[in-house]
Amino acid sequence: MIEREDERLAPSTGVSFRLTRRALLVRAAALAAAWTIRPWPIGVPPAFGQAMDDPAMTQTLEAYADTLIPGEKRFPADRAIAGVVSGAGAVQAGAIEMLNFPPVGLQPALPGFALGINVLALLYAVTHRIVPDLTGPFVALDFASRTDLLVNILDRDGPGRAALQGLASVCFLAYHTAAYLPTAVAIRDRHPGLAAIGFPPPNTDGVWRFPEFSYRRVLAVAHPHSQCGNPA
Amino acid sequence: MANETTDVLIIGTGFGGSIPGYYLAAGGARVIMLERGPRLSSDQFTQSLQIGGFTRILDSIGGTGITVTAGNCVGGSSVTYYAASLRAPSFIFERRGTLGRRIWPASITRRSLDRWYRRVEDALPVSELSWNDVTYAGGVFAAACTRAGHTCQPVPVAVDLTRCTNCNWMHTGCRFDAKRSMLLNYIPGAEAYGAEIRPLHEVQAIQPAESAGYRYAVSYLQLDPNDYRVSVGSGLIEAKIVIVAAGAMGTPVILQRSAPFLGGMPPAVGRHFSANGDRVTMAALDERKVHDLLGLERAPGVAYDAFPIGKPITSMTFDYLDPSAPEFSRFALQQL
Repeated sequence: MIEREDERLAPSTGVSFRLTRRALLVRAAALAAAWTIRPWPIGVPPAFGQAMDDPAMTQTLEAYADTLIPGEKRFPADRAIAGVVSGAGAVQAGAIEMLNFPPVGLQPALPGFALGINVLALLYAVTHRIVPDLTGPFVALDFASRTDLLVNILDRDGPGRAALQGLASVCFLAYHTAAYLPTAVAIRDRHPGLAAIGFPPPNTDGVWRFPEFSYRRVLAVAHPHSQCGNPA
Repeated sequence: MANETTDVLIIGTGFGGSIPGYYLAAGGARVIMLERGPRLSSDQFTQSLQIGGFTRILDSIGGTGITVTAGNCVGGSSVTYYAASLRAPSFIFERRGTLGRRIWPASITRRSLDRWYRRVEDALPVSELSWNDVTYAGGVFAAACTRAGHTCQPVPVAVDLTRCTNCNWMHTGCRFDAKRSMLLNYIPGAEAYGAEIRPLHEVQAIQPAESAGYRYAVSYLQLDPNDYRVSVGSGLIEAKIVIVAAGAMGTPVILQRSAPFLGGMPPAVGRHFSANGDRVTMAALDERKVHDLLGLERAPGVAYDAFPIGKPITSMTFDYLDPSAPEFSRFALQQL
């Protein structure tokens, strides 16, 4: 099983040396054995020890969302958002709010998602001769590398594909539907995604109605064998 | 402690369960109807995409190369569907299988079914649309059909046109009581005759009854309204007759789960079934061509720009429903 996973990984990383899961496990086992003989203090890099309210976790998820639907930087030092476009992207459209929205049910899994993304980003950096940043491997990648990594994971059947596709779909939902808010409230507050797709506003009472909805013209001839709108 | 008993136990309160529920209750039977989903009324249908709202009553079931959307509430898919009410074409019932034999029973033809179609069309009721009821989207489709040399006509819908506001929120439940779901006809009819509906009751399995005079026992879990994964109770009801009407996706699962208790289940259960088979394609419309080629304008300077407006289904063409064409090459094209 592990060998098959490694074989699937290898073509997508295109590396000259084989970084395999077995090799990592062997090294991890050696380290664990060494640790039991003589423990040393383990400082977990922030990107790998993320708790639910950890800003490093949020930044990782923001970068993930921004790679899918990019937006402009919120402030000049914004590292999570790459800033490759102007205008609002998934982050401004509430991707993080959506991921944390309790009815979506993803909140407890977010630290694990961030960890997984960072592990994959670390692997990507190592295999693409990029100096890895252990404080936030995914955020440290530039937009092109972030995109390349997500294409590998989401499109080419990489490890964890289904779960990360689910995470991505929630980011898209946040942008296209503002589904962490009542829609009338989202429209009132000028949600950028709904505005971008031209979602119409409700009437002043917050209810949608369209009294004008038809050209009110005969626009076609009925099928000769149809009866009362039914096929023969 | 004696088990709860009833004459008829109906699993599911959508189209398949509501109609026998009404007739059997009206005929004097004790009827209990178990519904996995919650019971919502029109004042609880929100025009909103917020997760936790309409998602309580709409299921999306993902398969390999297919996704099925189904209602999950009292009234079933009738609460969330788009109410297109079409009689099946006659030639469907004349299909023959690989042995050259008619697939449908001899008594089933379009003509023999017409009286039953009429009965349902009266009960819902179904409205025949005029061109004044066809939406902008339906109009563009019709005009495009005409320009391409095709016929097209309005689609009959189970919608009260005097109440419909063309809000385009049908999939979240109709808050105007315009869409004629089961909540407005067969279900109140069944309850008027004493049928009892229990929402948030998820049937687990059907097994043989223990008590004399009863044939089956149906086990259920009571679900937490805020998290359907959590059960807050359970029970067992014995019945003389069980009607499994849990939908195209729900029924095979219940039957397969019941197989060990019932001495097996035919291998076809869960296979070779069809839901409402559609292939949905998006059309991107060029506003200028809608105006110049199709001659349409809905307001000064606006040819179409009306995707969010109106009942979702209002026009379609039957031109490709050709009885003489090869099987599996026949289809209807419907504006959605």
